[in-house]
Amino acid sequence: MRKTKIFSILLTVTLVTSLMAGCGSSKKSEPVATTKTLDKSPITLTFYSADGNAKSSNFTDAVAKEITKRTGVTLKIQYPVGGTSKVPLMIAGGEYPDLIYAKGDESKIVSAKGLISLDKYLGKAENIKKLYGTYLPRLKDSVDDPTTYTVGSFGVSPIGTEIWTPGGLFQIQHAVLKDQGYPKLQTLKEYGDAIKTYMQKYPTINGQKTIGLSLCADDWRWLITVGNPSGSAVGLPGDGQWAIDPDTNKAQYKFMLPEIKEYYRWLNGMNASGVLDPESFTQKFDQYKAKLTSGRVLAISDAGWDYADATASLNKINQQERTFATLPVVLDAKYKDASMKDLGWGGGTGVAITTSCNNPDRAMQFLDWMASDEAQILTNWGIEGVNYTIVDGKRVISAAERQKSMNDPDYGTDTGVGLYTYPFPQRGQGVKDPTGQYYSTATTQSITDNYNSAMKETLKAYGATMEKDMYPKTSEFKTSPFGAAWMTTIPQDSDLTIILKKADDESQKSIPKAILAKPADFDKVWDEYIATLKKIEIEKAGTDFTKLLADKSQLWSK
Amino acid sequence: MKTFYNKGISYRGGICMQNIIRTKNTNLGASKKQNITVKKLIEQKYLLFMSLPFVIWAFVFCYVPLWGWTMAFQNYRPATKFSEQKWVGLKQFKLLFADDTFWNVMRNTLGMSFLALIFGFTIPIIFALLLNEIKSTRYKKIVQTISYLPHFVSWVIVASIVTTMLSTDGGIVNIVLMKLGILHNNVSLLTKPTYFWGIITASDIWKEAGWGAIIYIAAIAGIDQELYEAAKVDGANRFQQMLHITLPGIKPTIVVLLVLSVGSILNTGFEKQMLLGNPLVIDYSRVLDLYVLDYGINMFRYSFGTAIGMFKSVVSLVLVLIANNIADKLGEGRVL
Amino acid sequence: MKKIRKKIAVFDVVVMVIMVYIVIVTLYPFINVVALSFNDSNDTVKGGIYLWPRVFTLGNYKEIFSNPNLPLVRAGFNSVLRTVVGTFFTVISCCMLAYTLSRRDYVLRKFVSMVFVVTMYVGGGMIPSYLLMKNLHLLGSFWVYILPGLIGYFNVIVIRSFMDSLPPSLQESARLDGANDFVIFSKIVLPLCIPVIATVALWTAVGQWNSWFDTYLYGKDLLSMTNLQYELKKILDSTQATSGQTQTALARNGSLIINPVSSDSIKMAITIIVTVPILLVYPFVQKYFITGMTLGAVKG
Repeated sequence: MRKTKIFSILLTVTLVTSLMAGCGSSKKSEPVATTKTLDKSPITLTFYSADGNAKSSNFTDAVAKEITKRTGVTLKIQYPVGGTSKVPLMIAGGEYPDLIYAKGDESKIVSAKGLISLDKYLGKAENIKKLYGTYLPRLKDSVDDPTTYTVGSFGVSPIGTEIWTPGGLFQIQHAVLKDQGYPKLQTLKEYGDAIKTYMQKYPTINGQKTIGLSLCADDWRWLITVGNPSGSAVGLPGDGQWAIDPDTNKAQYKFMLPEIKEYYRWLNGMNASGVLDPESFTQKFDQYKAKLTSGRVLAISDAGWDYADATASLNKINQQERTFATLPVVLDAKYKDASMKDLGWGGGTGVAITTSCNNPDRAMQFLDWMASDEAQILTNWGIEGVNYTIVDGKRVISAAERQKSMNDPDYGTDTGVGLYTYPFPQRGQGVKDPTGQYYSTATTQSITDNYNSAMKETLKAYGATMEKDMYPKTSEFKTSPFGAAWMTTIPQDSDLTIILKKADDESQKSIPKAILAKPADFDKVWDEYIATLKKIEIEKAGTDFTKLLADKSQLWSK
Repeated sequence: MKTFYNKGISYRGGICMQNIIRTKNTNLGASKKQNITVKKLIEQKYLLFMSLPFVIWAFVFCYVPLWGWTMAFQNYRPATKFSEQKWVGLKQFKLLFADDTFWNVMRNTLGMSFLALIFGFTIPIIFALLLNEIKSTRYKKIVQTISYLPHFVSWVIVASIVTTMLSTDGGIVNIVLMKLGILHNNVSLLTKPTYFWGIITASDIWKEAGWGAIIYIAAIAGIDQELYEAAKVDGANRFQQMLHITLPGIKPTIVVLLVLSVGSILNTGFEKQMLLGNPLVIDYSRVLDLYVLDYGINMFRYSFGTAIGMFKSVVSLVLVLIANNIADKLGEGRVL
Repeated sequence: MKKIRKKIAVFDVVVMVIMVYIVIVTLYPFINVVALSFNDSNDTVKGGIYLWPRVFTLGNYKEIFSNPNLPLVRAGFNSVLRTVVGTFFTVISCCMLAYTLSRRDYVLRKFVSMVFVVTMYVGGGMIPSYLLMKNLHLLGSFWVYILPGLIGYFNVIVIRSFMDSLPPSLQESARLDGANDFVIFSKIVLPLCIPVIATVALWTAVGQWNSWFDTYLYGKDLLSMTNLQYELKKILDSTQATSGQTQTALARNGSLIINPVSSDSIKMAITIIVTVPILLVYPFVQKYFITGMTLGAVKG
């Protein structure tokens, strides 16, 4: 009796499953990879993502629903709360969610043997193979353990793809440039002089005191406004705290370089002459933003996304000339601003399938699908007819929709557009799909369309159409065999972590001290700083890190 | 006058103390040298029922997790099983005490805690005493309710307010000080390391004094009103009443909280120091809990973090037991 | 209740001046928060808002309450439930324990107090505690909000010291009348401790109301376990920018950077949402320790 009962249940389940599998159909008006025999039965996968998404919708938005429709998968996503990672608890308790994007904690889970190897799936994972292309070896974990555990995050662009946003780190108000007839500002000296001249000419702006150059050293922003610009000014690419010799690939803590010292000497001079905002090292981020929005800060050394709020506010109140132009300023003419250097895809962490997942085949199928063309278009562009339309075979986003996506902070939560690109496999900016259109919604046109009036005026005066035109081209630089240095995973127990933290702490303390010191004392303060760094074995750290980079290059070249 | 000025023994305290001394040798008072006999246990069975379940609770929820202290003697990796962990003896502790930063951190922590004890501890008491002097109950309630509001405003917001107030760019503090002629130029107080402790203490008082006063207000409420009537009859004015009835009346509470505060000397937290601090004053702002966060947890050095935790626990316990003994010797009775 | 003559002493004036100063200084940050919570977030970026909103809007509150992820009713209900239940059990437990420790003749007094003193300064850490909850099957159970925090020895000491100061004659006479320890505790001692019980209850209730970390660690992200503070914290976190390096990488690779609403305004609105219920309930607790008590009636 019992046996037959079990048998009939099994039979029913098999019948139902195969019925549902057979029923799924996908009609598209676009060229898309064939869906093959996708198992589309409903399944819920739990997913822990270490990077809290700005506007999670709990997988209820339109794009999410579409994903479920096409794959049967519903994601239950959990993010860390209050900055505390739950990963140590997962490891201690031995229970993981089905999928996990663990970032810094990934190596711990690997040593706890909590992730399954994806190697056996990679052979059949067509979409993933296509997306990563030559970068596929970069998914491997380490030289000691060349298994692939994750499908890496951040957009993948084949070498040679044009980079459209320089992400430069020196900004100056359009008003200043216009006032001085759009001079060529190449060196720090010229840059500083331009600011000073304007300051003297206009001691107040909008009724408040003019501030020359303001920095925001609040917490981690120190790295962005104080740490990174120094590297940029001497031609170092975005490798974080490291200076890597492009020929020998030897790494060094960048603050040890004499040319970096000269950058801070320049800042010291700016402070002495009253151009530097004295509150640079005490103000909090919201105070900094308020200053920018008041339009009286002439120059900053920041990353575009950091002051985007202020730009938006200034645009709203029609003070476009108070927003910023980004210029490739360098210490002196012998350096080349490397913002446009293509560092190659960085590898690093990605989404993994854990040992707690009951259906790893399904999970892998889902991840592979996310790498497919149809998924990329869905997650980037949204739903056809809703977020974009097809005109003459090309995807077009209406002006109204673009406006909404730029200005409505809830756009992501409501529509789901852009919510599911990161941290899943993702095509980079500027990569074209088989029909010749871009995967991502950004085009050169969309970027230029988004320039405000002041930016357009400035670019025209310099004979450029896009910001990137003012920067040394990507082709002038070698690509990196190990991606962006800061993305290198540092093994758990190494002394390197501690030395680096101590070094960063020391830098965070001494560099402002050096900047605010009297010019005559600068060398003394700086030398003390370097001596302390040497005491905490920063040179050993350099050697260790060089080896890590070498290992990475070796691993990826296999 | 003489009745209550009697050698400083207050009404409240006087009655208690005398009672305790008197009853010390009666049944209810006898405390030392009791043998734990089965007979006694049955006699006091209600007391047993009212306390033993909680002792069990303490063992389960507080003592059992203490196995985690073994992490301090290992090179703990969350990944490996307990039995496979590598034992390193006192290495973590040696690392800790050899680290210069650690001693700097200890100095900062203790410095700020002492300031907190001297000012942060006394001001809520003074506030409670003064609050009690407000005649109208309605105003008393209103003032008391308003006074604790900053407790609910998070440190993130308070730090932002403080930073704005101290800024050289239109901050109130600078404006006022310059108007009063104390300052001649704008001074960015937040960049001066030696002022940091003062700023922290002042901000903390601002935020927590009202909330901290609640226990003293409650203690004052427990003072027998008849004592005030009697004192008034004896001709004492309000200030004297406050000094000789109210203050002694809450003395037991004060002693208890003081002893317990001594135990918490190493627990300054880290939020306010992190938020109000900046790279220029880091040598004065980094406290023990911040150190644990930066060099322990955020670096995934669990063993190191656990070692510091152990150190904190041991020191706190020793301090609180010493304070308890001192309180006992001074005649205030054991707190613990 | 007419007073015959209102003599205003110097003392009163001094007290009044100090109180006015205190009120201004402590009220200001709160009013500032209220003002910012009602101010349009884009306008807030400009700074300079002190006592009232410049661009009034209900948008910040709408933003929170209309968030599809906020299971408002469930979270609110759980918050209230754990506050009430948690406070009840904690207060009762602490009072009972305090009473046994106030009895100097209790044979196990020293043992019990020693056991508990240690618990105040000693803890195993996040991982051992988590594993303990797991093994006790408390993960995902409502009782994980009640049991682990049941006894705060600090509270016990405060209550006990208050009990110590009660005249022993009261307990003696009750004993002579034949009452057992529990009756003495509940009928005589407890009613006399109302001010301090109210204080401990307040502390515990506020603690329960504000807690979210235990929800995060032990709640298994179940809907039945969530509470208000936790949900609000999640919303707050989602408005912060993701880390700098991630932003750079995202910007480089063309991801749509979703500019969040200024997290500052949300922070302010959340502060108000969490504090208002406490303010509403507070007057009912306040009366227990603002007005004094007369022991005279109980004496004898």
